[in-house]
Amino acid sequence: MALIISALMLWFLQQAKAVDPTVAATLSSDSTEVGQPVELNIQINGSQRAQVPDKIDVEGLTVIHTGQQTQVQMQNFTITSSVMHTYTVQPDHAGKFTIPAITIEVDGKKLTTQPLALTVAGNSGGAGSSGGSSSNSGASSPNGQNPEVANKIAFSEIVLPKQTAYVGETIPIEIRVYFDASVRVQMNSVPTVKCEGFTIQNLTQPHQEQIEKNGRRYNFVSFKTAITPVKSGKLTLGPATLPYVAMVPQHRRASRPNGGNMDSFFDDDLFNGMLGGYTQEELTVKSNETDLEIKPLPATGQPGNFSGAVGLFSMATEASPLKLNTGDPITLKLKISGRGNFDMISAPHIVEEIGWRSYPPSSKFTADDDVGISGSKTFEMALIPEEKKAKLPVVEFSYFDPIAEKYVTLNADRLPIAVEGQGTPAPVAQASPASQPVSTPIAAKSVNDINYLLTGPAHWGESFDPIFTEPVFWKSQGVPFLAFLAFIGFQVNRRKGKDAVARRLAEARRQKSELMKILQREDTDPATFYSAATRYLQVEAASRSNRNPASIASAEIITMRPLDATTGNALQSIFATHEELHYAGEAVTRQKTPPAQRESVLDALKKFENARD
Amino acid sequence: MHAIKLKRNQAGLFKKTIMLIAVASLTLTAWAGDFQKDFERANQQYDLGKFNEAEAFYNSIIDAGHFSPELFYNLGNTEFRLNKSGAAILNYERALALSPNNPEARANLIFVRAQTGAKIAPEDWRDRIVASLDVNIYCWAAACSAWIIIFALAIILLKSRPNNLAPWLVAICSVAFLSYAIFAVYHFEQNSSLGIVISKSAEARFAPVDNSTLVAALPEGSRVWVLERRGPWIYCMLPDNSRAWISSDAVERVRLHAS
Repeated sequence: MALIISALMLWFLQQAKAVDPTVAATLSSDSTEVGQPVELNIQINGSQRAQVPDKIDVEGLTVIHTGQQTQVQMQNFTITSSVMHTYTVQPDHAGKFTIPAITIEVDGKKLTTQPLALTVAGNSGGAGSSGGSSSNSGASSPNGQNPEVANKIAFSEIVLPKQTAYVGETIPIEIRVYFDASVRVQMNSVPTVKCEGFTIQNLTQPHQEQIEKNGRRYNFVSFKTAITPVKSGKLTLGPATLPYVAMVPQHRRASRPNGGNMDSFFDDDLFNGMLGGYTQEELTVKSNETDLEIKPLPATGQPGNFSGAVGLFSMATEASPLKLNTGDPITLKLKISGRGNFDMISAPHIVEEIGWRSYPPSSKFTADDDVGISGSKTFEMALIPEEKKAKLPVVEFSYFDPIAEKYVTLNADRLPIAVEGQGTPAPVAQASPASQPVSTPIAAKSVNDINYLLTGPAHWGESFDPIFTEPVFWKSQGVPFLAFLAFIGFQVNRRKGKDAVARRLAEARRQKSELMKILQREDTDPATFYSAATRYLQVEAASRSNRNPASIASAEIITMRPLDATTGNALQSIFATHEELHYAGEAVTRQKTPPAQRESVLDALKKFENARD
Repeated sequence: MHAIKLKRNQAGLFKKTIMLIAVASLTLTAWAGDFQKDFERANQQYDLGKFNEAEAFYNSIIDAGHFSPELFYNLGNTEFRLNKSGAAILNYERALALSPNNPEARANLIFVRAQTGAKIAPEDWRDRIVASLDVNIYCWAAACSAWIIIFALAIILLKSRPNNLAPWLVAICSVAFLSYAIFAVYHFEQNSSLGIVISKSAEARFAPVDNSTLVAALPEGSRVWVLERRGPWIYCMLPDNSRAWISSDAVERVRLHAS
């Protein structure tokens, strides 16, 4: 199947030869800035056999061939083919450039492209007149095995935007590694770069894509980072070394000296898969070294608050609140944005500190790119006006501009503010401990001083915990609790006693009522009548004295209450008659008590009842 | 004979009790006397201008777990002389926590606060209605009120004359006083988490992270209420009722607990 497709492609290519070849050059953009490459594309229509230069010499630009793309189209049974050669144009410095006409030999004919204009604006990364550079090298086996194979499989280069810089200036670098696309490669680590005299940041995650370069397809891997020179002089960067494991097709190891164009034809995974197996090789790709000229920062004109920031920066100011009272804090945010060594940027300096109190600021860096060269660093600090102020204080930030090659000082915006209220009192001039007069008690109190010591006996044993957390508090509640129990017991007993008296009185009332019924009956015989009368008197006497009625003698009853002589005699007569009748026998019981006698007795009983103790 | 023997035994018991009380009093006096001596020694160092030595003496008494309003007041003065205004305010606050009506401590506190610009929450209605008394007085008053209520209710329930209004009146007044005392105790307990900024630069932040957004900068001596502690940070209620995180090194609680 592959053979049929290949034959068809060859036929198509033969058909494509019939068209007259043309060339055209275009730029991806006719303007850029230093450090920002553009693409130069040279399109050759009608032929694929063109010889293009690997490098185009233009003063101030580095133009390197980076790949090609082949395209075959069929329209109305007319087949056209085209090849696009891509160059990377890296501006070395700002200015207007002209990429000259490029002569290309196509099928033996010499064709020329039109000249192209490119305008390059300056930026922080493209200062100096030195050109960007890249150095590349091939691969090698760590144990020296198969260097030819290694060279065929991979090569590497370090791309630098410039070759001169200042101490402290952060320079972005790119480590490019090209692996032959027909070889299966496994990377187990990131490249290591020899960088004596530089600090280097961590490499970014690799960017991978497949490209065509010099007629061969490569798996292109790019790592980015940034370096910062820490000393001046001629410093060497590199090489960058990357170990990898390659699965090399076995048939590729046999040399094919006469392979010619067919090499590329058979350098295909399809044929590799069909024609042989793979062997695993541990290899290392290494770039060349490159030199940089590092200049020291100028000593003259260096601001006092310069902290080592090198780059191109701007500063924005924010503050809140803008209306406040003295002693209240203003949150001042200073955002330093741009491109440079943000690690070396320290907090801006407050020049005018009188009437202000400040606290150490916090800082936060937000990177705009992968390597942290561009971004913004925000400082946040609390400023406290101690007196009325109309504007924020003067705050300065200084850095070295490597393009202009001079120091620059930025001032924060002095935003208007409104500070209300009286100023907080200035600290009283207190004598320092060391200079305090010796042996003189500071008893004399002045307006601007504190009260003297308390020298009397101290009240020891105080506690910060409230008393209810102490056991003694709850134990002491036992005293009122016991008193409460005693009170309840007393009240209950008292109530019980009262109930007994009430019951006795009620019983006495009931007995008296029954006896009164007997006394008031007309048919009652004298013995029963006088017995009831005597009993009535006993019950009445007992109701007031808390005694048994039967135990009270008749003589005692008469003396219990203050009675007149008539009533006393009447009562004595009742008791005497009762005794007589008691011993008289049955004859008396058949008679009725005379009404006059009954009335007299009832009258005496009533008088006894009404008599008070 | 037996009566005489009983009388002699009773007299012996009385003598023993008196002796026991006397020994206990002497022990307590000696115990307090040690601190009083250290206290007086610290006062002497202060008078001699040796504030560091005075501070060490005062702190040794506190470390031993013995507190008094005078001790904290004098330590506050010493801290002020050592230019530690935050610590001075803290100790005046402690003196006032033990003795709310200490006029010297109150005056010095106001004076030092004015110097540092310390932030304190404005006095609210609760501060105004609760008299500045020792919290223990409110505790005892609450306990007494509760017992009076209990006795009054018992009288109402046990007495045979229900139309007597006196116990009802006493009970109602006691309930009102008990409510006030409990409210006062609760109000004082709210201050159990009170802390004082002792650092010269206390920054209150939204989150317990150094570069978090700044909520406020609190001068030393400012009052905060500690709500939570997380590692080297404490979550506080600030004087303006906002909440923020402050480094735990910058704040110290007013209330101490005896070891």
